[in-house]
Amino acid sequence: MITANLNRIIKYGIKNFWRQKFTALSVIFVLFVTIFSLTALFLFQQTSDYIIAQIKERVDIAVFFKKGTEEGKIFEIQNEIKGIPEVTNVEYISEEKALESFKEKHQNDKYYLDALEELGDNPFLASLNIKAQNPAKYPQITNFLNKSEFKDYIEKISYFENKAIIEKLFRIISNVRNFIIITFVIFGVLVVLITFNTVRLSIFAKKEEIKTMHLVGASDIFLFGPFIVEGLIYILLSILACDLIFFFTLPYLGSKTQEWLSGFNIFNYFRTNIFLILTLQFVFSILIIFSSIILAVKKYSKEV
Amino acid sequence: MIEFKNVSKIYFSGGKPFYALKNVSFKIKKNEFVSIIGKSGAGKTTIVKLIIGQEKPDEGEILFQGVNINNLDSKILQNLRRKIGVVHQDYKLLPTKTVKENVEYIMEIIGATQEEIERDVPQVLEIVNLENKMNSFPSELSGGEKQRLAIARALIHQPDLIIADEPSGNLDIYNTLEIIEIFKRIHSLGKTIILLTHNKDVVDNLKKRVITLDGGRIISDDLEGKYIL
Repeated sequence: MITANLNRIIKYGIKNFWRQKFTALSVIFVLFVTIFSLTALFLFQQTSDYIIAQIKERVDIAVFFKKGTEEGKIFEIQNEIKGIPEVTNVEYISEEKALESFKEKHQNDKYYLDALEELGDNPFLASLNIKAQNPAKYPQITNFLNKSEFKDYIEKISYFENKAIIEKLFRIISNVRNFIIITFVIFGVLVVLITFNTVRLSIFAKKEEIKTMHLVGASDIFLFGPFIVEGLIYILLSILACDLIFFFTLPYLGSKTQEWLSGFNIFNYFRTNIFLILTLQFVFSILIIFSSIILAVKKYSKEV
Repeated sequence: MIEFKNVSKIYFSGGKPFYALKNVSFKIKKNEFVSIIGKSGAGKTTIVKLIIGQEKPDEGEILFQGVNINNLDSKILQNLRRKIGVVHQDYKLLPTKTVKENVEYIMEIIGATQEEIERDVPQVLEIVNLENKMNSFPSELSGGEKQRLAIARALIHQPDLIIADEPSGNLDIYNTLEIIEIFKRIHSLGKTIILLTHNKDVVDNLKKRVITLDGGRIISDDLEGKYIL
């Protein structure tokens, strides 16, 4: 009996869809636009997260030590800093290594090399490059160093020189995040409302039919079932169309993002996370389509 | 089978209440054939709506097979509706389904098997002369054909009770007599029939019980009544 009813419901769902192709097309189009926009926003958010993570990765602070500070003391300080929970890496750069790096970087720049020659002595200071999990922790690390017993060995901390730039960067990052979240919410609410109302309008066209079905004694499964099947067809076709477009356009965009964003390929992200994306698309579509169907059918069937 | 106990139904028109039915009481036994007659606005269609639970009475109670249907749970009400075949005055056909599907749908919701559907649906459509219109949609049918389809839909699952609200409204005399013959045949199979009509010829030829309504009240209830309005 259950199988027979299920077959009948699927049959009516498919027939209703086919017989009202134009109404179905309008619902599919709106749902497609909704899923496409939200997926694009999701991918944009992932890209911006990557950019933000990259920027954070590049922000660090350097502690420069006074000339003549013994290497053993610097290693002691390095171990102490490594013990701070937020610190992920502490790299020691000796005076000699700093000089070598400078020379290598400016090997074709005679002006810099001549200036270095004229000084005669190595002008560079030994330093520790510190990286934290969260750049917002840098002020705390800096304060710790300034108040520690090692403060007399420290010549300068780069954080104070770059403080304004780092803080500005954090403000930009925070603003970009907020902008994405606000856009997501506003746009999300708008497209959800539009989809919701399009589905309700398509069911409004069948208002009298729903009333009659209810009047002749149709059970809930016969009332809601065909609409749910129809809704599933809308969802499947919309997601298929949406992901096919992404699948064929993202490879081009992926090579561009790889070039611009030092290795982040949006197409690879899409491909490797396709199951997550599909799950989100299905869950979202099912929630919006099924809830609008159930509310509308319930409303009209209750009128008799 | 059906009992109305002091039933009143009030509607509002322009903010003012008026009684569609006032203190109506009658009892229809199993296997009875009853005509309910009355002019337009006498309350005939209100009786149909009350029996199938489309409306609730403001006063009194309605019993169907001994059960008060006033406050039925929606699942039980749907179950009850499946036991009643109704030919509505405005047909109430399913516009997106074909003639065959309109009839099949009723069989499907009562849980008939595919074999039963394939056996019974063509037979009933043949009885109402719609066997050649099986794949047409209601919008492609004439008024008379729609009415015959509504009748086929009401009969297909052989319900305990058949209510026909003006079933001859869009039919010519030949088709009217044919439809009444069908109702008589179904009645002879032990079914209860309630016919709501203002067709004098139909009522006088039937020679069955007639309940006459006027202004929402029963003015006569005769076992072998005639059209008296």
